[in-house]
Amino acid sequence: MGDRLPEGWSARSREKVAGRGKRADAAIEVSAANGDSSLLLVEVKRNVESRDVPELARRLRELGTELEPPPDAAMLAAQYLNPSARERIVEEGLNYADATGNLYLALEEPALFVRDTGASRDPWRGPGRPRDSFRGPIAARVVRALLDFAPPMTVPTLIERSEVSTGAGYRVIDFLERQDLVERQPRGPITRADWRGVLERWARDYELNLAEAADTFLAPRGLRSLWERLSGVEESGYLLSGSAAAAYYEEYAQARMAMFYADDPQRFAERLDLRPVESGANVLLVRPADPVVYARAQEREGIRIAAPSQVAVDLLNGPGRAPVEAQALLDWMERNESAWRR
Amino acid sequence: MNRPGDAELPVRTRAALLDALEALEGQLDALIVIGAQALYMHAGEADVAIPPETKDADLSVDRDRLQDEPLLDEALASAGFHRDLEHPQPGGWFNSDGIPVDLMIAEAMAGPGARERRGARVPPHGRGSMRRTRGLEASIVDNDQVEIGAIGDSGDKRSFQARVAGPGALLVAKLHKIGERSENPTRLQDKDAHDLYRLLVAVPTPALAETVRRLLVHSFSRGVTEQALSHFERLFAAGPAALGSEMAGRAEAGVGSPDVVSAAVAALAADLLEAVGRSSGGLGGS
Repeated sequence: MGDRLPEGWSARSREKVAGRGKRADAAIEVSAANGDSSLLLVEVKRNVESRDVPELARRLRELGTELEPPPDAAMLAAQYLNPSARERIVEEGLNYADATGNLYLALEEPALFVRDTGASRDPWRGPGRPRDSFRGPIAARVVRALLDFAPPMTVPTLIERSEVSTGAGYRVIDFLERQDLVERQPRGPITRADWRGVLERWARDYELNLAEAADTFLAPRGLRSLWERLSGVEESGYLLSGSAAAAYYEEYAQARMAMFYADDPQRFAERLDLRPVESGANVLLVRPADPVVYARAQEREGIRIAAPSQVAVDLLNGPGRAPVEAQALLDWMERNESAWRR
Repeated sequence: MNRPGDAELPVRTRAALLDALEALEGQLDALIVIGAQALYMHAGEADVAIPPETKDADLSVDRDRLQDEPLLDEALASAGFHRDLEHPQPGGWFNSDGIPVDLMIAEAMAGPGARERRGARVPPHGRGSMRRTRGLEASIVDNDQVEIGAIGDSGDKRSFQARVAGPGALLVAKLHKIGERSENPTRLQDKDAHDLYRLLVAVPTPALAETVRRLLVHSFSRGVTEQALSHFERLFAAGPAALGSEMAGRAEAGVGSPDVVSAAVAALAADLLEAVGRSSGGLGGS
């Protein structure tokens, strides 16, 4: 709000505005250039619908009479206020502000009128409900970008790197904040991300159960011979993940099982002489649900390897010993953060 | 001997082979290196979970090239080789380091005598100088001249030009060993099936098929090769649950991936049979 005021005006938060055991959510002192000031009582809500406004207004007026010092005006603040709620708030003689930039501030003494327009649709809600999990490709894209790039990072930058729509991106970031997995300055950049926590939480919600989604194959001469064959063929629609990919990053990893994403698993299997088997598989082929798995892939010795964050989530959801191998990879990622985070 | 324990066993075993070739230099033309040493030369680098096990040196004797002198027994004894005095075996010797060296001969060359009689009759060589073994006929047909020297950094400078059995001969010999013992399962060793898997992983199918076709054409090796392929079909190509496939997998229990090995050896066996035109619906590829 501070940067929307006219030249010479200022706004600062005032502590200790309270009375008879009641407190305001916030109180802001708005000062004109000549030093005159107005005390603004602020009520903060996550969501405000227009039907809620009359009752909120009544409670604010009541609270105002009980506080010391008494406020000169009152404001409703929320993450997002829709147009009809904004209209109703003004009708009730209140001011408003939301996190998308919608602002209405009308003061009598000193006289001030500021009005600004932000989003006209709730970027956190959009057509859907607020997120309650990291399921699906949108979350995967945002989480992968959050993991692969070190903070600080502005939200628009994260959304751009994620290649998701603004609204959908905001909903994932909102969920990350609510889970206390990232910290953001108010309306500012992401300053901290608990990347290991994000990864483990994402893996729990990840819809891909690899043991069920994968087709199982046998490379009868073992994986080393498969690598030789793979680096020799012109093949682009694939990506190596799982423990065999982890072995390219973390030297102690043992590659016994190769997990590939392949756009066309059948064709991939034929080109590499993989045999479909019920038991004794050493190769898993999965058709990717979203191209995000290919994001920030690397090429090593002629083989396309998934980024460490993708390998880790696949191992966490993988069969057999894979989850144990995931922990070893995560430990490596912790020790070598600069090696895999940009 | 720079390193203690099993790690140096391949080095000591190779030295025992060189001891034998040196002792029998006068008969070198009649000797063919077979068994673990030959497998090690063809498939020592194969991508499998357990290292090759070479704890003895086996030689196949080609009767057609064997001279009357020097006598095998005398040559070995005078070079410091000794017999197992408690359990003497035809053809069985130990070098001064205690590593076993076995002289064997293809059954078709072993002279008169029932199959149960294990010593060969090849005068003037002694009755206990060679052990008759079915399946070694293939080693007479499929072998290559190889320069054989020491391995590791033992400082041993000896080197011999000698014949080493080819992969087809090793396949046939190993299949006879497993096939004969499959009728007496207490004598079966999982390692023998795993050796076969190692060979199949290391040698490309077309090359192995080429050798096997040659063995099928040659009258001296045709019979044993036909029989070996029928063992191969029944014990391996029939699928991952066939006796030989299971044995190969079991050899990796605890250190490797038994299921993968069983499936892989069955698939590779079916591939080879198909490549030599003996496919009869093995399940290995499905």
